[in-house]
Amino acid sequence: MNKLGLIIKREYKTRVRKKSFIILSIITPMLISMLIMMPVIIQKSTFRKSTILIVDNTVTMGELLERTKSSQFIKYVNMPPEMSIEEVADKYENSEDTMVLHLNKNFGIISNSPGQLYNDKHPGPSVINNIQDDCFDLFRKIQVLRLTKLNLAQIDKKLGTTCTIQYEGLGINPQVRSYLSLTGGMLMYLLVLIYGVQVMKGIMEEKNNRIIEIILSSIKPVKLMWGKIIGIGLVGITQFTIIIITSIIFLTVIKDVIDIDPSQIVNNQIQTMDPDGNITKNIIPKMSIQQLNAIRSIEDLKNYLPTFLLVMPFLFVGGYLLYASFFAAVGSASNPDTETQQFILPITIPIIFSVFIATTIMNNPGSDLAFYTSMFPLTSPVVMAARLPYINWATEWWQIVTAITLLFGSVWLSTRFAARVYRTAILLYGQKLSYKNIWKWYKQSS
Amino acid sequence: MEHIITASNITKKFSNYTALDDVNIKIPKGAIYGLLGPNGAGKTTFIRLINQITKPDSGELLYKGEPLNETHISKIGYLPEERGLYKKMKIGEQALYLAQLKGMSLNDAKLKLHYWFEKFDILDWWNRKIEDLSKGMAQKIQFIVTVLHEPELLILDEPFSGFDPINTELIKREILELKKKGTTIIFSTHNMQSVEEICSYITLIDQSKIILQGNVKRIRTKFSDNEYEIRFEGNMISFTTGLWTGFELIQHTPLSNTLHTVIVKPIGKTSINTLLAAIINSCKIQYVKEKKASMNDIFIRAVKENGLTLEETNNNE
Repeated sequence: MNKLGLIIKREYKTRVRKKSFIILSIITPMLISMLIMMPVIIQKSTFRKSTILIVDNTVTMGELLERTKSSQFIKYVNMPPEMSIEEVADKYENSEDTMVLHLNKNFGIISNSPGQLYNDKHPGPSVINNIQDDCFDLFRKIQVLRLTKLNLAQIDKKLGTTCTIQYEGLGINPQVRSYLSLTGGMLMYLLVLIYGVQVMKGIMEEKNNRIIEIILSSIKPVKLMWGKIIGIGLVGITQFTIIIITSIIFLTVIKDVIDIDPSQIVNNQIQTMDPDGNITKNIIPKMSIQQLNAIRSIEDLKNYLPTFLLVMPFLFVGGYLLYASFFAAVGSASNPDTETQQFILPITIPIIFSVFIATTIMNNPGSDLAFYTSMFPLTSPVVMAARLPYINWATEWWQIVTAITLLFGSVWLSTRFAARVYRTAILLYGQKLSYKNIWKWYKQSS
Repeated sequence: MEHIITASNITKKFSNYTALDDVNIKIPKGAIYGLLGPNGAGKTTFIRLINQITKPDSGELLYKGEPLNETHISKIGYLPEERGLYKKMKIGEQALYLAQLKGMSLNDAKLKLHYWFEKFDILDWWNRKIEDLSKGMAQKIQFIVTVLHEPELLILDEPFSGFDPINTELIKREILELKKKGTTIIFSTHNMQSVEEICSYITLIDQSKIILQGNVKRIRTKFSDNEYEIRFEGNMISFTTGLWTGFELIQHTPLSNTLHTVIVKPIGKTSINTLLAAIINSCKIQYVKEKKASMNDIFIRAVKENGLTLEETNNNE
């Protein structure tokens, strides 16, 4: 094996075998999956079914609510017409899960206000919202029913249950798109920074424990620097790959779990919570909005994956090389007793700034600031990663090509700069780390 | 005489600072060659040039007559003064890595490492990490790593620093063993006693210039003050009478009433035998030895008098 290969192999092997590498590779995708699945998990863990006892002063609304609006979350039970509100209230003790809805006689005809909800406890806002939504939806349909000759089932079919806007371009929904944007930006930021700093630390370790002198008697300084940068970069790519693969596995597993599990829970609850025990019809549970969203998100993620896999490696390699070369220069110029913090800060400022930009992209992906910072090499790896879900390939492909070209052009310059500083500074001890000196070492090496 | 390294008119500058100024050194093959000088004199710079870590600004550097190039890297072993190893890497793995960097094959490196680990009785260290070892133990590993690829030229920068006397002896023995096998050794040190013991040639560098160079025995003779140390049993007055044959008493140390150590210096070209003949009947002589200048004295004198012409004219010959 040639010497550069040996260096790369050592840098790679020592890092990949570390426990922290394995833990980070598994934990990161778990966290990403958790973020997407959190609403479903919270909803599942706090799920309670409410029973609404209806005292109906209208002719049909109570019956219609019971027949068309009962779901896995709310069960409407239309009480017999001879029972007064007092009788119902007496018969059924109020609890958090059972409440009485007194329908106003004008509801459905001239009023869209259903009436009063009685409950001694405090029903959660989501229950009240759901009842309001159900009542309003029914009111809306009754109005349509009056104006047309359609029946309720036909109206349901025509109107649908949700309102969807058709998007042009990518079919990713905006919520998922913003997650992808933020995740892409953050992932790039973390990878570039973590591995860039590792290059610096690795160089400092070799310089400070003086093994550098032994190694440099076998290999040229610049080759050693490249070996280190490539070896650590490969660790980054490995981690990146593991994160993607394990994320896909986690998401697939979680998708299967949410597909099956809630229906079981809901069916059980319907049977146990029936007040009279005489409801025998089988209610087919519907999926919650959160479940639907999560499943759609996973589908969207799969659609976005090819773009992600095509562009992100370029952005990572370019961004990593750019920053790693700066970190390498500082690492080689450091001394055991020098404080490198003040030199790390100017390097990290552009990348931290790009994270700020990345967080604003989901609100305004087409802004000038987003465009220019996604072209500027010091900020493009993170900002372009965040813009990626919003890029329209048909018309904006040139932006990606330009950004990557500019990035690699800068990499060419920065690695040359780093190699020159490294060559001189790596063997100098007791010299003050300053911008002036770094420039001097750069000039000296020419 | 065949030379393994021939450095001619080497100059190396760093910005405004001259590290080596028109330096000429010839290192005979198979010799132990001392490279001496105060801190910052330019020794490490010269060693780095041989190791091709840096290049000279001007001058010529030959390895066995051919210009120094990358193929010579595997023929040189280097133990720097400030040595270190990867603290968190296993010893065996690390030694294999460094040996491969010197151009050895993995199998060859394993075999040779096994031999050295067995020789130093440290086989059970293979899977330990450097951070678990003491400084002296780590230095043993460093020594092994340096000589593992059986270099023709071995450069040792302060090899004994940090070693206890037992390990110093062990390493000294190994160095002499390697010399016997034909290895040329450049020995950079401040430890003048070890120079006297093992070096046959030296170059003394000060402020980037060579100020003294040549065969150690000849240099010591040249710098000696032609003094003799005599220890005898007997009467000091009888001894003093003998000095009339043409000697000057430099120092007298009575060890007891009858036992004395004296240092004398002949006036002119009088032979020491004249003095001995004069006192032999009245004093019992325990020993007589010529007082040669120690390398330590020579080092200090040469550095103090830097600027005067102290160079041996017959460079190393």
